[in-house]
Amino acid sequence: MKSAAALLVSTCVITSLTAQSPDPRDAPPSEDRLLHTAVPDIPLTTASGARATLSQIARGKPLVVGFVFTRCPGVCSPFLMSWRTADRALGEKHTYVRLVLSFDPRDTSTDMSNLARHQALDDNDEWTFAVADPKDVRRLADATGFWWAWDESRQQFDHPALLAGIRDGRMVRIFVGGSITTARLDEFVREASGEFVRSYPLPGRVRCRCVRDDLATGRTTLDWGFVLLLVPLAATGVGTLVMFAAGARVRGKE
Amino acid sequence: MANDTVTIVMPEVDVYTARLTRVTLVWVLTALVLFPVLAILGLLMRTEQSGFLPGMAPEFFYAIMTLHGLGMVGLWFVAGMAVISVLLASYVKPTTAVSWIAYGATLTGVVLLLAATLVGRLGVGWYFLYPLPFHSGGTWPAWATASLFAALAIMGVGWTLWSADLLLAIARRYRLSHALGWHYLSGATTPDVPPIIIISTVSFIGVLAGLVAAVVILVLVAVEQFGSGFTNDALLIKNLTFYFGHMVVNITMYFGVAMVYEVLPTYTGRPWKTNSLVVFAWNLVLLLVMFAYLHHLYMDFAQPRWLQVAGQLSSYLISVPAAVVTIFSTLVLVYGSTMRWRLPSVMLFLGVMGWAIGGVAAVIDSTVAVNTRFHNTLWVPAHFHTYFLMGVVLMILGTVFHLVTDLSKVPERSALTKTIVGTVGVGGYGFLLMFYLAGVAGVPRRYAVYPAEVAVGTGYAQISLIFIAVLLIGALIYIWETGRRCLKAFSS
Repeated sequence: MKSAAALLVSTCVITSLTAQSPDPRDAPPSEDRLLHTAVPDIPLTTASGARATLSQIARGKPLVVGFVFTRCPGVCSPFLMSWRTADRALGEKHTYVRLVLSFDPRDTSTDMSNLARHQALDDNDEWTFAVADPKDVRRLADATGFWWAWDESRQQFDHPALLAGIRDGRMVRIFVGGSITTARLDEFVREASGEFVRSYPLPGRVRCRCVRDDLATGRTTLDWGFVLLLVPLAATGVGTLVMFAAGARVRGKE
Repeated sequence: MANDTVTIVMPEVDVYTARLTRVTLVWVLTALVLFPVLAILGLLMRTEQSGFLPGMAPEFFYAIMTLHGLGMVGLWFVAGMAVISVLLASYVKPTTAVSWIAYGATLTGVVLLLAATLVGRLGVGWYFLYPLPFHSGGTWPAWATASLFAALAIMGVGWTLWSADLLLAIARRYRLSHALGWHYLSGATTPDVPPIIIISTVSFIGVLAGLVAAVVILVLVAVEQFGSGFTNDALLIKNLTFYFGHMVVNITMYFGVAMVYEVLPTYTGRPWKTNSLVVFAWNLVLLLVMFAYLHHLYMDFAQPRWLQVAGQLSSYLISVPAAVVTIFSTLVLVYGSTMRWRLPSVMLFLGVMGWAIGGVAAVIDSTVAVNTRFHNTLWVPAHFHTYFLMGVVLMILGTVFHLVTDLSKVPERSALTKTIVGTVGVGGYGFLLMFYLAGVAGVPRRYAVYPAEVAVGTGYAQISLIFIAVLLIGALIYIWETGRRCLKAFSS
């Protein structure tokens, strides 16, 4: 018995010692664990060489941060272009601060200035391109769910395309994905601004909906799943009648 | 020779009563053990919110919040069922074996819940709202979720059998129209149906409806987990979850009220007869209780507006027949009577008043315009702790003391009665006041640690610790006094 217990304990210990920490690349960042957490107010150097903290750049407005690196041969450029296109489509609808931050220690203010020019955003005051001390970038990344890892075989960083929505120094939303549609950016910024935004499940996957909520008209209509809400009432009604009928038979026999 | 041997034939009813009493005492003793343990979990939560347990991980806070909530709801539901079944035995004959089956199912469920929460750190809250149990973010393992649903399934089967057996026991003696007292509405007074039969019939029908809702949830969740490509509608599951949860809590309160109707007249010296008002009130409750849960879904934008209106109306209206009629009748029954103020009668009376206070707070919160501000604040635990702890729990504890004192013949000690009432009253309402004040100040509920923006919550939590300590002293004295009577009654 003792040896069995010892074996069990040692197995648990060995398992726990050899267990690998989960690889962040296995799943997208979990927004649930980030919401409302405080974001460090890190110092930044903008593309123009000016020094400012994150809160100074935000100026009390909602702040949306995108992480890129200028030598990226992959998602960074299309991601940034997609953000810019969606942002232009929204026009003057929202007042928010856009920050593009490099996570690559090799990037300089000049590199970020060139990137801004490449994206035709260098003359746009609403956009800030910046670099920061690697330790500070790491702190901000940890708070926003962003990660990166050097891929030796491809000689580039592996990283998600991520936007972090920050309001009053706290995380409000994250967006993960290389392509940003106007509608999604609109929702993202509205929520980052403190507005309540309806969210919808992915179409076609949910069965037995109790209501259908039309995004365009705002109308809700009953769906087949609503019948399941009536099951408890109906089943209990029938069950009660059956029980009292059975009780009547017993009384009849007595 | 025949005269030398005396054969005593005990009447069947006595053997039956002894068996029913025994199983009820086992339920009561179990409740007396679990109550302080679950209360201490609540104390731990408030201690962490006070900032005195910096080493306690927030994940553990949510695990014990889940165990405390599910445990307390389940504990007082089964305690209410056990006490009601022994009170009903004066009129009908429930099956003792079914009570034992329910006991076994409950104990099995409790073990699974302990494993899920204390070992697995499951932190889904007492409402285990879908899809949270399946999205732990690495906080708890999948087996903890499986353990929770297994516990719910096992306890659900036991409780369904128990409720059905009690309803069937009523059905064996009364027609449905009589069990619901409909003949009183047409002016007839025979057959005489005591209020406890009418309230119990309403309650068991409600319990069964709630448990059927739980079955639907379990089936839908099982289909999703074991099927392929099926995703549940979160709004549908939320409706079903609160249909079940709100029903169980509501019905537990009605068990307490049924006890008041049955036991309080013993102390007032006046009978509490059924009349058309009582019948109308409780039949209306049966209708409204099916929709009252809707106030839990005010925050769900996709819920149709007419259901939100139905939720507010039923939440308002249900307080009239159930609470106002009972509270008014209690006052009429006590006023001018030769009331014997003993521990059971004081607890029953205070329980009705606690129900009234908690009910007012609940009605305030069920107002849509108020709910948008209060719903996620400590106002919510304030109101449900009021009508639960200072309402139905006092009613059940008062009735239990009445039963065990009667069975054990151990006389009540006046000084201890005053101590219990004083400590429970001051401790209980002091503890609740801190919840209410924090709720009004906008302190959010379900926060393990208060951030700087709501630091005022820490102060209220710290003050509440004093009151919880006073409350626990009173509860422990009660448990000691009741426990020794219970053991004496059990041994005899």
